[in-house]
Amino acid sequence: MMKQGLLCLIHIGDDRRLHLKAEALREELSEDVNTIWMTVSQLSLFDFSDIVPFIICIISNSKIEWQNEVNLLKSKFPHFILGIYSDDITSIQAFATGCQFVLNPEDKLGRQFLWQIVTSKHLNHENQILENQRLEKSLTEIQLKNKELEKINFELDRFVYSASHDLRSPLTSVLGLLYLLRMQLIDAESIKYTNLMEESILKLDNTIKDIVTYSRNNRTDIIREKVKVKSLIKDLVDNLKYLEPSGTSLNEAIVFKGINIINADKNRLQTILNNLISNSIRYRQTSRQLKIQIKTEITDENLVLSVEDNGIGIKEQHIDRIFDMFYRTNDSSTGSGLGLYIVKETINKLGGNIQVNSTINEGTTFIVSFPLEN
Amino acid sequence: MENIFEEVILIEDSEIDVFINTKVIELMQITEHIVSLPSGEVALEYLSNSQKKFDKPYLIFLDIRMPKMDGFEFLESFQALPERIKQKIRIVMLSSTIDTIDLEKANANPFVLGFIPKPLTRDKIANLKLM
Repeated sequence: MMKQGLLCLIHIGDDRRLHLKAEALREELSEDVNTIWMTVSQLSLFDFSDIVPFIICIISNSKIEWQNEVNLLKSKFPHFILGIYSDDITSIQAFATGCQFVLNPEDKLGRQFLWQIVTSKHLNHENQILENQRLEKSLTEIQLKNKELEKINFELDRFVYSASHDLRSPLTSVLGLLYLLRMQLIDAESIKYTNLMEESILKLDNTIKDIVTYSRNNRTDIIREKVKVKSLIKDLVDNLKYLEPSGTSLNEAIVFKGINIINADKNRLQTILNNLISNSIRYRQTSRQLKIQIKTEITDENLVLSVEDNGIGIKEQHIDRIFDMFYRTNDSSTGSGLGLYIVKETINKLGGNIQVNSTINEGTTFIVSFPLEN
Repeated sequence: MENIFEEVILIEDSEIDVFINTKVIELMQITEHIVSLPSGEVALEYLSNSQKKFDKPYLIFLDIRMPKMDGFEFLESFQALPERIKQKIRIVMLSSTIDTIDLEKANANPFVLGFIPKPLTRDKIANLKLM
């Protein structure tokens, strides 16, 4: 059985006075606190294998004498407070009073507690201990809030997936019906109508996907793995076929240069590229052939990813706001107003940053930079 | 591809999707028999009571979100079916989910041949390595 408690180690020298003080403290504390008292002459001889200390007090008249051994202890119990050395009980009490610490590891229910030594009385002038000390435990306020937030996050996330599924199901059914209908149509007018219907549905579907992507970015941890940028782009482009302008091959319009295999969070990289590439397609200059150049390079300690197009460009007055939630540059823009906001949020999560350079009628370049490892 | 499957089974609770999937499968001419079953439970019963000879393989299009027994629960129970039935069955998941957890689970399942995002189209079936 492991013993748990406040561990006090008293260095026994010939300092009788110190020893008596320590004994007095022990008596006071042991009423409320599970205290393990040890009197040792050398810390390194002490067997810690069956003790889980909360706090380690070293009562000694010499700090220097204990220093090396305390360092050893610190490496053994990195989560515990250590090194209260003093020949003066008063300063130990001062330290312990109001001293708050969060204990690791968590208990069986995954909770962490805030431990606090509460002192309710004072020392008298003869240095006698009159304080009443208790070790109190409580979930920290922040931890309680965190637990609550985690629960809300989880529920919200499940809600988003569930709602997105219920919203998407009828949409995919309509897309399926349009697909079947179009096979039977021959007149241009009807085909045009079905195309417009499909376009509207895909737009709504994209908004739903955007919301889910946003939720996913907030919820999931970063997972780094080897990613082949080239094949990632190819998969993305396959899914963007519905945006492909007539007379243009997206596979030819999109050129990739640079480092192909990078260490990155695949899902997030996909989110970033997907949004940037689809914007380049949406805001292309129709009078010229679409060109999108994607580059990856390593500079200093960053991975730099850039997406450059020859599109219509972004007006200066919009530049500062394009990453805002629901910001759209004009009424006719077909997006949800979430794309670049999600890009920014995703990059933030990864600890990177994004810049944009744009010239009207010439094109836009987004430059994303991530720290290589963190 | 002509009639390579003895039977195509749609495990699907949405009637409209059953209609769409049936049409697309008919167009593909990969089977002469299409059966639709509204839940995983019914499908399990159907498969375990089946007295048919399994000459040609069977193809199942399995939806994920269904009342009572969902697609993944079906897959768990499917595992317990006799080997002679299991080995003749190809399962493709067909869903409108975009939950990455669903996709990962589907890809990790040894009985699942592939995942198709709804709606079903000829191209999506053609892209599967069905045999």
